[in-house]
Amino acid sequence: MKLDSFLNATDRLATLVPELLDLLGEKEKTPTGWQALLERAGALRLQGGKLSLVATLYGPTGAGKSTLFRNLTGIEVPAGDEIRPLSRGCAMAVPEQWDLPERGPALRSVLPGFDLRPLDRPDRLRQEDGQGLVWYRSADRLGGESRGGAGPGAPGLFLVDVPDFNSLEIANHERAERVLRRAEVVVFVVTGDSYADQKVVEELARCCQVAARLVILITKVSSPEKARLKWTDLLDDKLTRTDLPWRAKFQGKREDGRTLEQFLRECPVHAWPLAANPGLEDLRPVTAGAPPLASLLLGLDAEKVAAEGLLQAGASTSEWVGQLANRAEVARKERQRWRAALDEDLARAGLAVAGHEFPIGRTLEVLMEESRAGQNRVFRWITYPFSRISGWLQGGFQAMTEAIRSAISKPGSGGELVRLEEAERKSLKRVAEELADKWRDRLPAWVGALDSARCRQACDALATATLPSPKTNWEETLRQSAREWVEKNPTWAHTLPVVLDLTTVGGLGLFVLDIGTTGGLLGSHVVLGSLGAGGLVAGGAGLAAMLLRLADKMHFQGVLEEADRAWREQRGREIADHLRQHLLPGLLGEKLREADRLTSFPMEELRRLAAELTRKANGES
Amino acid sequence: MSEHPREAQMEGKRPGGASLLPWIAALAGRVGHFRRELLGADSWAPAARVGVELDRALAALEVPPTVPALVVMLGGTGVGKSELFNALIDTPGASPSSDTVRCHTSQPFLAIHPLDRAHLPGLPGLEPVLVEGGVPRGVVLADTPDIDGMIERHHGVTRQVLERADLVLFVTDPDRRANLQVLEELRRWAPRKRWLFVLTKADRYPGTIDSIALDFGKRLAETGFTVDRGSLFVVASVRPGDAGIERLRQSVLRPGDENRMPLLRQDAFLRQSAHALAAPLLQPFQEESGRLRALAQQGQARQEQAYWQALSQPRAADAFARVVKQAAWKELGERSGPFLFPAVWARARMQPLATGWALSRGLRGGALGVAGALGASALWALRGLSPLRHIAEALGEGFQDTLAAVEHDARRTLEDAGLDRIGIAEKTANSDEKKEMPAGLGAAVEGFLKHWTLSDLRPELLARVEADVDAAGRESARLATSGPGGWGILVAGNLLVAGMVGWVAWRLGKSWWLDTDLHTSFFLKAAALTVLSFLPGLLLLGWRVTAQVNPRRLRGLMGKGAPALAGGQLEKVQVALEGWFRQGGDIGKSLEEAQRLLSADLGPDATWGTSLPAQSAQSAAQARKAQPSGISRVNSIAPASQPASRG
Repeated sequence: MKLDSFLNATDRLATLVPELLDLLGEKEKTPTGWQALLERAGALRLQGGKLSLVATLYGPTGAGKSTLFRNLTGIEVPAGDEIRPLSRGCAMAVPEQWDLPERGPALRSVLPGFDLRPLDRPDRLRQEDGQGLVWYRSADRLGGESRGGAGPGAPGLFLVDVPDFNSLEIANHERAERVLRRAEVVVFVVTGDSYADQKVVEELARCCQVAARLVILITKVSSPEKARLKWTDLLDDKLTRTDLPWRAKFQGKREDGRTLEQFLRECPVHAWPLAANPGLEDLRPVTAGAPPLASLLLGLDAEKVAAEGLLQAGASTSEWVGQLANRAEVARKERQRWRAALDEDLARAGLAVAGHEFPIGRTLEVLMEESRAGQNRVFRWITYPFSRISGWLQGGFQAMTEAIRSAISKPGSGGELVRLEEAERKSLKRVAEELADKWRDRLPAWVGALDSARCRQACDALATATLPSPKTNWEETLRQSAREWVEKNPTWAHTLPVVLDLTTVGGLGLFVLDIGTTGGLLGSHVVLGSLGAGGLVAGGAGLAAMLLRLADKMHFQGVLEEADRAWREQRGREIADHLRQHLLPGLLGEKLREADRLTSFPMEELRRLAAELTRKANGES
Repeated sequence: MSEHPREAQMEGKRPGGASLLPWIAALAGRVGHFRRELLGADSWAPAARVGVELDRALAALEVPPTVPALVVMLGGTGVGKSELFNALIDTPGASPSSDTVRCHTSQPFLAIHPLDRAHLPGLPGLEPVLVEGGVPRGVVLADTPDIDGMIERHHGVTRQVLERADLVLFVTDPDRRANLQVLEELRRWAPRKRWLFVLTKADRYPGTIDSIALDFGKRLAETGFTVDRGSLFVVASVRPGDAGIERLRQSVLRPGDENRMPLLRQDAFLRQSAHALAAPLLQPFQEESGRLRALAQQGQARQEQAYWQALSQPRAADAFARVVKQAAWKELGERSGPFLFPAVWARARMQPLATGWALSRGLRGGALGVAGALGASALWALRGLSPLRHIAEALGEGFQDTLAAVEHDARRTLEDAGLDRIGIAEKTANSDEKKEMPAGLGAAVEGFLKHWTLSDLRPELLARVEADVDAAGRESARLATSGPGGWGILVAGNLLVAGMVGWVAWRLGKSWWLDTDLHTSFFLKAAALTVLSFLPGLLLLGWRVTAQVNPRRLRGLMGKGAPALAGGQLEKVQVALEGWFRQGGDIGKSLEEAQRLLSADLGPDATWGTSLPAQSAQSAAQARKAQPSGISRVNSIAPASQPASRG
């Protein structure tokens, strides 16, 4: 059977699947079928296409696995009832011609990744050794029957006795399951009293999913008839009851299309009645017409069964990978939505920061510039002196206020720019804390925790990062709006700069005149004295109202709104980018990278590879 | 009265343990009170665990004494529970068993005395099958479904019966004695019940049963039990007249045990509540308290650093120094001597900022207080003159940001730990130092003004600034009036004023004696000279105060022990956790002592089973921590869940 493309698909899956499991946070949840596929494919590659068969004795504590192994192979292994659990190690019976030093590499190719050592004394199996350690010894006979003269190059049957899967020794479970993944043939050994244990039935289901061939041995019963009744109770009552979840569990499909239940029903069943010193002669088939156990094992077509084991693992994996891909698609969409929500939050935060500080001074400057540019040339010459003096006065006033400000606070380069930066920093701090709290509350479970220390580090990093200076793109929009306003309101556009210049110059002139003539009495006595404090306040309010009406009459509102909108959008984007660059990585950097990796994961390739296993499993090649 | 419980019973007297009942009742009160305190912390998982265990313990005391003791058999499917049940009550077929079909028993079978039928233990939702006879009065023997079969509903039924058990017979057979799933169930219930251990099917292993029993004892020791010979029974239920069955029957179904039921339940309460308050369950309180304390200290250190850094800035230091000077003048009053005092008092209250400061502290009580408060309201209406606000603003936005950051961190830390929603009575580490709130209109106006002008500032910051200003003012005043220089100024200043007052008094006295009139100019001159006589002392004192209140040396003027700036939330929770840990530990020790005394009173031959000692509970917990995850998951107090499927 050509299995190259099957093996290639397996190799590629061996890279993709762990990566995907890591991205989904499901590293611990790999099924036995997937592990079995990797083990068996690895063994196949190493054996160069010549497949040997691995059979395991698998069952709960006290079932009699080691007793059976001793009886079948003649190899002395610890067995008995006085200590539970008794075995902690794995023992393997190898065909005689394999137990030679020069056959070491070939032997290791049967169980790749395992640590194989010759069994020198039985108590080795009671020691707590590392995972993957298998003690082996040769056995030329199996159950009294010769293994036959299979030469060194011929495939062989390797029988492995493993520890239990349900005792206090958790490490035993791992050792047993590891061999189960590799074994194509499973002899499931269970006592008559344990056949309906929850753990036993779970493991039985697992064996049905991964084994190519399964044999059931019911031990410590009073008679084979009792064993048959118990087995019938399991198959015809317990596994078919609709009020129990087992029925659905055993409806999964195997590579040949049979359900697990059908496969289980067709497995040969043997019984081994209770005796003080049980022997193989007491081991009887329960299923009518079934050969003795040893004959059954020796009569297997190694290559055929090994290939079936590989394909069965493939079929089991294919279904699982398909489900994994489905979950990954859902997760991918969820992460994309999450990223979009983060971007929305950042955009809103950027707008919130930008919206606080609108550079009104610069806006008015641009308006005046465009108004002056729109004036008639002759008109401009006439008003030139006033505009120059007004410009000096305004510049002097600005310099004076900057000097005062720098005396009490940090000096800055550009007045409005420094105030803007300070205000934005203040807003940014607040916004960063709010974002951190918001994201903490709304974190999906797969992101994990965003703890206090991490939030503080990220917010502090943002506080020390240099704020980007505002670009001037928004000014272009403002200028365009100002030009449009000048075109639509030529009278106001021409008049406004002149009025402001005249007011500035005239006001200063009046002030100088008052000081120079009456010593300020005119201003203080006549004006203030007549009006009084109340009059001053009323006058100020009236002036403000007049200016607002004037602005409304001059249709300024549209220009200002447009400028504000352009500013907010541009500055909001810049602030959002700043947050994305300096806050987001500190808070969620790792998860963002994972989300990106999941987005770019080759899901279609994964599905195609899974289908490749199925095609092979279904016999298409 | 005989000390031996059986003899005492036979004499018609109360067993010895009854004398402990009042003490146990008092302990129950303490436990109940502690449980109520923990209710507010139920959102925190460790507190919820302790709470649930305490609830279970208290529930044991609510069972009426007329309810017979419930002896429950716990074990896996097929180990022989039903056979054992039938053998114990000597009624074959009472609980149907099958040696073919497993998971046979689906409902509990209760063997009960006819006279106890009216007092059946409540088993809501279950339909137990009652078997009358075979048990003495005061005892109910229960056969349950399995705990490890493939029908999960059976597990729930068994656990429900177990919840009510007063004594548990753990039943297993030689093949299943190391079964993980069943032993995990045993561990889950171990600290809460009394136990006897039964190894069945001894007839199947005639030559090796003793070794098997020894090995079984080792498995139980690994679980944390100290099993003595009186607690372990090896039986063959199918063998007529089996000695093990007889021995077990004598231990469990002994006539006349109905008087011991109250003691059994008291013992259950003591054991379960001691378990709830044992070190493994209380340890998280102490650990979390320590962690929060360290974090609170870090936060406070950060705030202190920011505070001193801000205070060292020129603007803040100047503002602080100005206010401290006014506070120093206020303290100088009592140190300035009898003749300089009026001038110093007036000086302390007449400068605008000083007035604001002094009035802000409240001239409490009476018309003066009202006048002072009204005057302060005028100044505070301008807001900027509020000295505390002035200093708080001068500390700068960077400092305020640091305070806010520490508060954020404290809140998030509590949220991370699940401690943000626990309800704690308002108590702090210095709960003994209660600030007395002044009464009266002045205090009310002061409170209103503070709220109106300072409500946007952090109360902890204001309290700290106030405390520092007070301390610095006192220290400055002390330094200004101490030492040769200070004494010299005080003596000279007081002497000058005394001399002037004395001269005026002598002139007045002379004129009265001589019956002469003094010209008006004399009085004007005397008033002017008297006022002038204050000036040198005032000026010199002012110079001394200014010299002491150096903006660069403010820290040296302030004492230690100032209140924390902000972020007291962590401290509150930490104090609460620490308190609960100590309180729980104290109660736990009393419970253990009571349980020890009660167990002794129950008597050595009253084989009501062995219980998991508190030390064993701790070592079992540690052993569980060291075990791979498959075993450690039994620590959950939730009902037993499905073992994780790996395929």
